[in-house]
Amino acid sequence: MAIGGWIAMGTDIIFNNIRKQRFAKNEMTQQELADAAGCTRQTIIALEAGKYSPSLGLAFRIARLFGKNLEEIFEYGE
Amino acid sequence: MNIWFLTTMIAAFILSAVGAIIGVRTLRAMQARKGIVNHGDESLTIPMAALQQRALWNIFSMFVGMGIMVWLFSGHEVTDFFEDDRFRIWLTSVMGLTLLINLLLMLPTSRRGRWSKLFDERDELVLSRASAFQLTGLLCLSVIWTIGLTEHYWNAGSIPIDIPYLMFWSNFLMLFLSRSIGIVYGYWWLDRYGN
Repeated sequence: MAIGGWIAMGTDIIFNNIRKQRFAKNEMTQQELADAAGCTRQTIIALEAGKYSPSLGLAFRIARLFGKNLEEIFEYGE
Repeated sequence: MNIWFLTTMIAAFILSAVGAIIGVRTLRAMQARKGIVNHGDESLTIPMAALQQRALWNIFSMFVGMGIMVWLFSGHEVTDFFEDDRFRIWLTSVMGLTLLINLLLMLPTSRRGRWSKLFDERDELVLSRASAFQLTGLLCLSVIWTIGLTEHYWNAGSIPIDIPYLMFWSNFLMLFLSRSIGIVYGYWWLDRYGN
């Protein structure tokens, strides 16, 4: 697991580096990110653990919170 | 109904509450033992969602409620439902109370008001999948009723008029019980395999 969490959906694998981005952004807590992104802390933990693939809306909100493009946070792999 | 019955009912509810607390804490401890990666206070172990905890409580309370109903039924005939007023009132009260507890416990399934922060798209996904459990539960119940009634009343050629009322109530109970089981299973699946 090179870049944070990864989620396997069928043959698709989606990586994310939310955890890394969170620590880079003033050690933001999971709860702070959850509140800002409009989801629960459980969902953030699940994302970081690679146990949940977010909706497009949530993925865009998280990316915007870090001031990044979607593909800088989420990466598609096969 | 006497004071002993009331005492038994209250004791059963208290026992179920204690059982639920122990159950939830045991599950949390089991989750915590599974590969924790600590970074300060944070971990990669997914804590139980509010909806998941409430679904577990609900399963406990529904089993207790159904246990009391089975206990009430022991020593009675189905036809007593209409013939014995006290029996009918007690049975209906326990059914109503069980459903009321379910309603109160499952309020977080609403995205409105104070619950909205406890409920997000992941919970919605679990809820949407839980409806498959409701359908399966109702189908299984209808099979049980059909086989049970035809076997029991085959020679009589007809069923007592009380039966449809009991079927109606049992459908309600199964609807909510299977939903809670579906929710617990849904979270287990998400935590283990992702979506």
